[in-house]
Amino acid sequence: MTTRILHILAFLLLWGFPAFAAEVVVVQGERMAPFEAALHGFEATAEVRSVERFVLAELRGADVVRSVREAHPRVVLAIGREALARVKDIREIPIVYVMVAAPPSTAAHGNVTGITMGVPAERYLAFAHADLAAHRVGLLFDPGRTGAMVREARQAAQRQGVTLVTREVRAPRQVLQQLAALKGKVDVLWLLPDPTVVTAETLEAIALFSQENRVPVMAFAAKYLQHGALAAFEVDPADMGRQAGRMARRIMNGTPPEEVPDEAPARITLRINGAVARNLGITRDLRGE
Amino acid sequence: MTAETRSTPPTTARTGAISRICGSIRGSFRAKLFTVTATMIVAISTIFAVFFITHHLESEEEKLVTEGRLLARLLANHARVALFAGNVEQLREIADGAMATPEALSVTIFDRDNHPLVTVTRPADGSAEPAPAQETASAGKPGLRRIGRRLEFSETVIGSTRATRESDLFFETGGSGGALSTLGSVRVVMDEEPINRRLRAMIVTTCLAAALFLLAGCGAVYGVIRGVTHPLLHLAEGVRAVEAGGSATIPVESNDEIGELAASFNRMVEAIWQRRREREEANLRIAELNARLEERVRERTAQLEEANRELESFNYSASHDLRAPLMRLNGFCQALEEECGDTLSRECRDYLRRIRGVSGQMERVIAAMSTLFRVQRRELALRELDLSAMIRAIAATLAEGEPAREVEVTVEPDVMVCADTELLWVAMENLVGNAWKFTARTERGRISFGRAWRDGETVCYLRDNGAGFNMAYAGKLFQPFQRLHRPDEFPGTGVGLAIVHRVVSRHGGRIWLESEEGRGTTCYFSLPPCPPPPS
Repeated sequence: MTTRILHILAFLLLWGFPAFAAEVVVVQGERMAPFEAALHGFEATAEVRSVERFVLAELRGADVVRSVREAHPRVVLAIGREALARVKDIREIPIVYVMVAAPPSTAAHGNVTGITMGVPAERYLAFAHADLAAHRVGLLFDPGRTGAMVREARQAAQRQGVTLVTREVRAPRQVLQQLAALKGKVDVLWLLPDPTVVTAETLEAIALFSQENRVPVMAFAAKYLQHGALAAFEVDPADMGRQAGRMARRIMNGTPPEEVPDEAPARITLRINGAVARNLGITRDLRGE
Repeated sequence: MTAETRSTPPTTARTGAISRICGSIRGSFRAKLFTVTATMIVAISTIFAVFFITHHLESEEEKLVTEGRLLARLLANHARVALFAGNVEQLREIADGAMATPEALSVTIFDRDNHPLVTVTRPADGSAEPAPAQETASAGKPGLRRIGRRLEFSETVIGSTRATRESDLFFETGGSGGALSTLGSVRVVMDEEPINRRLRAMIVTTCLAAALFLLAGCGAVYGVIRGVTHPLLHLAEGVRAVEAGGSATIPVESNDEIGELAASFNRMVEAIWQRRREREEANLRIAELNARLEERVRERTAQLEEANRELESFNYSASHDLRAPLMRLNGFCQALEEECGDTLSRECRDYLRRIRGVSGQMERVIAAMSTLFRVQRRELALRELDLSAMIRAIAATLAEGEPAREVEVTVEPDVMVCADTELLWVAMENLVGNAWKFTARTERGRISFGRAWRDGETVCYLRDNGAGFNMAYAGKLFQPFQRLHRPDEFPGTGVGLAIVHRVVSRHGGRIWLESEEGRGTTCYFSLPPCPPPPS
């Protein structure tokens, strides 16, 4: 009931008062702590007077694109993949995204730029090669989801001199079979932010695989350390928000958005699970940041 | 044995035996105390045993339910990946591991379509072996079901589908990203039989322990009760012995209150015997004293009788010997008056008259003394007589002697007494004579006789309104020769009231006077009633 009332109120506001234009319109998928931190970081560095925010989870059914257009903002901040996907059709307003792991190719227009949440493949491979002395890095992926990242990873592996052992999976159940196929063929297993690969059951199987075969797992988020991953590169939402704020400020100051390239997170923190390292017999000094 | 005895039904014999037992229990303090205490021990043992067994059964059942639920949940958790991967071998290993629980009877793992993938059942010999999957039924609803002596626990194995949002992959979002799906279910059947076996063993052990406790408790209680009642039995025997007049010393078996009681009893018995001995000694002394006293009384009585005899002899001799010279004196006086009467001077005639007067006084005194002794010695011949008539006769005689006097005599009629006629006549003659005499100076003399109620008995009284006397001298009046008036006022010998007193005393009665100077005297006397005539 409350949601419906909010929808009605939002609809009326968006319909009846377009003249109240905001400097920045923020579109976010939902109200969650990392998104809020990113927004606060953005507000801290963008130096904007007015910000109007649309939370997609609270505006189901509303024409957000139209509302954004009628707000006539100078910049649209899309927080999260869902928000970026929703506003990707807007071409006349610069869009800065944040908290998006890999922006969809359809969003690669001139007016879209932002901070990718993904850590560059070189960081993973360098860590695997240098710190874990790994030459074979295993990778499970769904081509429809993380195929682009794998292609980028292959290039990076070539540059690093690391062999990338990849296995395609189309369903989570196949992860277990492909894991069995990777037995003895990899030194490190690298998890990509692929929802086909990363499920509760596959995480258990991956942890079991890691433990049984003494293969360390590198994850893309710190939350997987408690699921048995050895290391994870963690990004800071607030810092990414500040990075996006600075980017938006440049655009609002007159820099065309197509001249502002995508940026990787400025602050990437390596997290290590010491217990996993001990259990895997890794005696090398792995220093987390 | 008679036919009637043989035909006595067993129920009657049982009832009689029960009645005898109840009677013996009621009659014995020890049996009563022991019965009550033993009953309490049995009741408490039973309550505790039942409570313990019930509690143990509930605890075991609760433990079995907890174990089954936990086992099903753990199994569901462990089987999640294997179910997800469809790895039957791994599922079988997991099921075999679950069968390590002794109470687990069977373990079945179903896929999402409710088809059994693995079933492991425990055969009768206890070893867990896998059973063909097709033998088992379909999985039940999640939760606990009781089928006979078996408990069936079902648990759904939940899996998560892929994340729908990119943020769920990177951050902890509260699990809102991935939808849940059913991977299958597990079913664990737990057997209650081991619990029942343990329970049976527990009941047997508890019963044995309760019986041992009962025996030990009853033995201890019997010992305690015996320790309490044994001295009491000794005490009761001692009391009975003392009651029968014997002496008894009971053993003092302890230093507690009962021992103190036994010691006190012994001291009491010793004190009683000491007093009995003292009383017997005193009785002996009293008997000796009595014998000595009786001997002395006999001696004194003999002496007194001898003195009385001498006194009577003297009295008789004195009366006789004094009366003869007195008669001769009177004779000589009469002869002198007859012979020389004319020649004698007036003065000599006066002397002669005085001699004759003194002689008459002496004769009256001697007669009174004679009467007094006669009253003392006469054998009583009791009979019922009309005292009213006697009083009237005496009063009439006195009135004839002094016809000039006007005395009002009132006599209550029909006052019957039992007395010796002669003695009572002498007594009443003196009493009525006194009343007549002491009313001589009263202007309107009144004499009344009747009965009155005094001091719880009926007494006779004789009242006059004569001179009266001072009551301070009342004690002297019944002694011989004691007088309260001068002879010239009221003549007399002073022996009359002594005679009356003797007569009444000899009849077993009592006599007293109430008087006031100038207002008259009342003499009260009592005479015992006549004995009833022999039937």
